[in-house]
Amino acid sequence: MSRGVRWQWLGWAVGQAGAAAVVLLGTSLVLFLVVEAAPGRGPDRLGTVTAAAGGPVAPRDRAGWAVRYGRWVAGAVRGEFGSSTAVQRGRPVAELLGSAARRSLSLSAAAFGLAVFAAAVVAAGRRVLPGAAGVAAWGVHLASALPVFLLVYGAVVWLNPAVARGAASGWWDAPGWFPFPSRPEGAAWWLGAGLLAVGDGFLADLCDRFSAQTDAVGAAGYRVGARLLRLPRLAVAVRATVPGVADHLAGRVTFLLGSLVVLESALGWPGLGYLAWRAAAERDLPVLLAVAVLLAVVVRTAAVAAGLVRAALDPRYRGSG
Amino acid sequence: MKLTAYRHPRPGWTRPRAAVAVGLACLAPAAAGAVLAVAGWLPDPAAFAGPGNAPPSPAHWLGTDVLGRDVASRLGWAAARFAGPASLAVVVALAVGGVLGVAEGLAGPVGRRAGRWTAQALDGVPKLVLVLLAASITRSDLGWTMAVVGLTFAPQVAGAVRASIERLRARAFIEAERCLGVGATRIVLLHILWGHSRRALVSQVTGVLAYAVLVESSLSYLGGALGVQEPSASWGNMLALARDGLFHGAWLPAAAPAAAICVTLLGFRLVGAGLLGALEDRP
Repeated sequence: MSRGVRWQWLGWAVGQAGAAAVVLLGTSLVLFLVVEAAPGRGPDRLGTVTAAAGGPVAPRDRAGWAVRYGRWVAGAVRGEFGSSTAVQRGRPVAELLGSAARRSLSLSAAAFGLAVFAAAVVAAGRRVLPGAAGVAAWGVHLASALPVFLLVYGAVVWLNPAVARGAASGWWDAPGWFPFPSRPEGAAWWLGAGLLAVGDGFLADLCDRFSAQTDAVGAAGYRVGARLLRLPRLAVAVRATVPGVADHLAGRVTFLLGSLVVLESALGWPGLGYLAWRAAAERDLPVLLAVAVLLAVVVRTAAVAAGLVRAALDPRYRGSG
Repeated sequence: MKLTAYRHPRPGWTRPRAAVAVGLACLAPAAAGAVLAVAGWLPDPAAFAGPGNAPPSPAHWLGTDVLGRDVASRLGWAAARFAGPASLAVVVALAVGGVLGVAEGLAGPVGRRAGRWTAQALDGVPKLVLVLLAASITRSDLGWTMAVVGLTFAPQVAGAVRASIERLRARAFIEAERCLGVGATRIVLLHILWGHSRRALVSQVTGVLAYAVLVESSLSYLGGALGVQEPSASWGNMLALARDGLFHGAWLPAAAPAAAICVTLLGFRLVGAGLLGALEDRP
């Protein structure tokens, strides 16, 4: 890599990181102001003064909103989000977030991987076995039209009796995860990831996008162009396909995380989604604000990663800033 | 003088047209239920009309739920009750998204960047988490919740509006209108958005409506005082109430709202996909 290209890369990356930071600050400011403007005059709505666990929460901070927002951001940078006011009253929010974030992000990543794999298989299959892939695509669209909470409902209603019947008939021993959804581990965890990958239209959307992208790359213009320039066709296809797909995937992260909230709440699995739902139900605004900002960081990181992929494969994008 | 040939739409059944037709057929039951409820032809959805979990009969087409209320009536009233808030979501999405899209498409560099960052900031938080925040703050007011659903979809609408403006702003007919002194507002609203982008915008509207149905039914199903509360009817809370009955053989009170949710979602998706497909299919 030449020095000029290196500087171009560096300038582009700094610009992207700066823009992402500005957007995140804007997002967090809007969320903060919404929470601050919420009706009801409870004590220290954002729990910025940590109280002893289980004890009474400290009185409301009387400083102006800009000062309070500054303090909140400074605390968030240090990993402190105040203390919970309802879900686990008095407990630091950061403690609640830690393990929940690990569980939720791994589940989302698994669902994401499953959906991308299935969509890639369907898109590739359209070239090899068009008939079978067409049937599979219809099946995907029908299954994907179901909301995640209905898929969970169906899985609990149909799966548990089937497993119980098999165990009673002596066909198999009751598995460790029975009855579903007792614990988020093993086969039950993978089943949850599968439901997340399929439901709320996620898989159908990815299939459509992947298929459209492979159709575009398979068009005559790309083939002729690659041959004229004596470029390997695979490299041309990758450069033409991956940036658009990466952009689209980054845009879908926000929907996937929304579905995660529903899945974890419906199954009662501990995670960021379940925490957000409980915090909303119990009006624990510090926890809800922290979850929202944490998920905003995930969404923005995905967008920056997609930008990096595009910049790596398309020099015009790097130049455009 | 060179004349441009008028582009006639392709005759006959095409895949996009079939998708739109099937989608509209999927939406028809919900629309009919809402109309019947508003017209007063359905019984009171909260009235205890018969024994619990009664099978279908001429008096109760889809039977009764566990509390003895008419399932068909509750399905219709749920659709009617949801129509207003869902329309609010559409209005908010179009208004905010339209303003942001026009700012991104027509404003100077500063306005364009501000519009883009605002859209990114709105799009940066998972939509359902924002909706949960709104439901928590407004104590489950369906109108506010749907307004936030519309707000979260504004970046998508803004993207469609911006793309239309960028695609059409340099075209000859727009230049001609500017030369004739037609105002920017008229050009954008009438000639760009209505004249050339209405299918794309209607497709976005179907996306907003599908997401609104999904959010409302999910929140009402999950409970926690975040969705529609009993005794008001919602497809989500009907399903939640029928959850246990399914294990005792009373499957219709659960299957009916589940089918209503799936068919309606499928309908909105098919109509949206069909409209977009028709747009790409234009000769």
